[in-house]
Amino acid sequence: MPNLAILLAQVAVIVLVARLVGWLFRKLGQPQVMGEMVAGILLGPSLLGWLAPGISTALFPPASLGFLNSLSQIGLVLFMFMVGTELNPEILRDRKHTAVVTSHVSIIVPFFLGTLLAFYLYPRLSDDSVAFAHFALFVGTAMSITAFPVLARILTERNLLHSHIGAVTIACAAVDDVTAWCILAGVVLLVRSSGVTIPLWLTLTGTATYVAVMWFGTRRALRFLETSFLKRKSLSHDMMGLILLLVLVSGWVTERLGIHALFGAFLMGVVMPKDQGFVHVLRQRLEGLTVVLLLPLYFAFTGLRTSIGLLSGADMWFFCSLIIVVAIVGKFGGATVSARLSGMPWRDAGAVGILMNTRGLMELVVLNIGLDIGVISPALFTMMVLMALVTTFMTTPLLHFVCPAQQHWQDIAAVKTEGLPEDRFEHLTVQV
Amino acid sequence: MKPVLVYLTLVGLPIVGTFGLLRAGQDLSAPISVGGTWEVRLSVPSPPSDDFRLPPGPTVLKISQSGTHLLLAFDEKTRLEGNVQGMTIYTGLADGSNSATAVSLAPTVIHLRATIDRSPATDQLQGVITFARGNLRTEVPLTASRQRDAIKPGGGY
Repeated sequence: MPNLAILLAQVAVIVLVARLVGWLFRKLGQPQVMGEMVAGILLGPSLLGWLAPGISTALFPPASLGFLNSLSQIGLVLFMFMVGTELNPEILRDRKHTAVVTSHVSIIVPFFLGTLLAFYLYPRLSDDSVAFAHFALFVGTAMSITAFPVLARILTERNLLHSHIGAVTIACAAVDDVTAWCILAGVVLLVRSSGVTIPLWLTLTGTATYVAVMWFGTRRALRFLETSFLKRKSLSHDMMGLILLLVLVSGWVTERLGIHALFGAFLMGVVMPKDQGFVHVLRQRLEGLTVVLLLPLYFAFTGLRTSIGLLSGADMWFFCSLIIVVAIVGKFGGATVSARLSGMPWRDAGAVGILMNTRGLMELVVLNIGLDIGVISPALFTMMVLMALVTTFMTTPLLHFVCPAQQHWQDIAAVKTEGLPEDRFEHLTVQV
Repeated sequence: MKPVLVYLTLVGLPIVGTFGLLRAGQDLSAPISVGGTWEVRLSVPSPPSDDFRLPPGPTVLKISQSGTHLLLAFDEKTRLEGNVQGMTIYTGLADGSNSATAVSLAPTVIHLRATIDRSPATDQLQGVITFARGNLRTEVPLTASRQRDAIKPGGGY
């Protein structure tokens, strides 16, 4: 049984610190989520555990972390569902060419550079219980991630969502997200296949069947939710209960199939009806609890696993710097060059590259999965968490430099004259 | 024609390169895996010390491994920092461990040196812990066996 008093104290402290640091980062012009990620690190061994080990042990005793993790995982399942509901194939309309080329390049270039980096890091930061292929595929995937929700938030806050840059970036990020999650599912499947009871062929055929059923069957069946919503103009508790049940069942199925519960939740979000009113109300209902209460728990849990103290010595900091540089060169460079070659001016292409380089929460999700399945070591985990923080932190100031506010409005005006419906992206962001 | 060429260059080449790297990387070797939980037995009790004391019975050693870098924790308390070279573990005392705060005029310096034996049933460690305080030097032999439940799917810990 969890010690309820400890759990409540943990949740209270985490929410308080997350809100405070989030507020501070908002004042610095950073998204709230950036502050919450840092808050998680501050509560872990890197700061609280280092400055006040007694308080840290009393507040986060090792035996209590399982419960904290379970709570945060439920939050993450709901969050991934919300991210899935944001993905709308409509986004790609009108921008298919630029979005497809830029998104593919912005995945494969960092993936390739990640694999190249893995070649160097494997003998130095891994061990012989991890196959090189698993290690390299994972590092490649971690380098290719773009934080779709954080990115959408930044675009909204900077009034860029309606601009040409915003539209292309959000479309690329959507394609990136789906592709990266598919690759990650494959990596998890490969790594786990050597250790779990479920045979590989069953996982493969089961996953393929499940995706097909969800896309061709469940997606159509769920249209009744939209119809019912449009008829009543509201989302009843029964409907919410049904949707939550579907999310949990979908997560359970993919977890049992040997991939991860997050994929099931994400997939359920993807197949949800995409009427903007329906999706907007649904997200509003889930947002408060998930984003304010449960997600900070996930950041804190990640922070508790992140120990900057593990990076002792010049060689470890060199590896960390190398990871950050490769991540930026791969994502920013790949997206910028491909956007430019697709016909965008250098300034816009640079802005797309800066935005695509945002890793945010999605990177933390991927890294935690990597640490859980044992494909990365604790020190490499810490280095990559720092990489996620740096790449997320640099987005806003760089974007401000490349796209001053005056330029946004010119872009938005240009898009409007192209005749795009103004509300196309209105409800696109999860408020993180 | 140009978009196709751009796509093939920017997407096709990295894909081919990735496959090449994955193939070439099969020959790479990483340090031996020692991470996880070990059950340690000392042949005699450790010498009295303010800094470090292990009971004569079995005790838990948790090793956190990142490549050749190791962080060893005895009973979640005393931490030793070290590395693995070949089949041997070498450690010294880590900063921030219990004993770092209990440093007296002549602090105990602890070294561990153990060799890994990979047997089919379970991995074993055999070596000595050396306690040095001033001119006094005590060596305590130790053996340890790796706990199976500590090994995660995929081979990590």
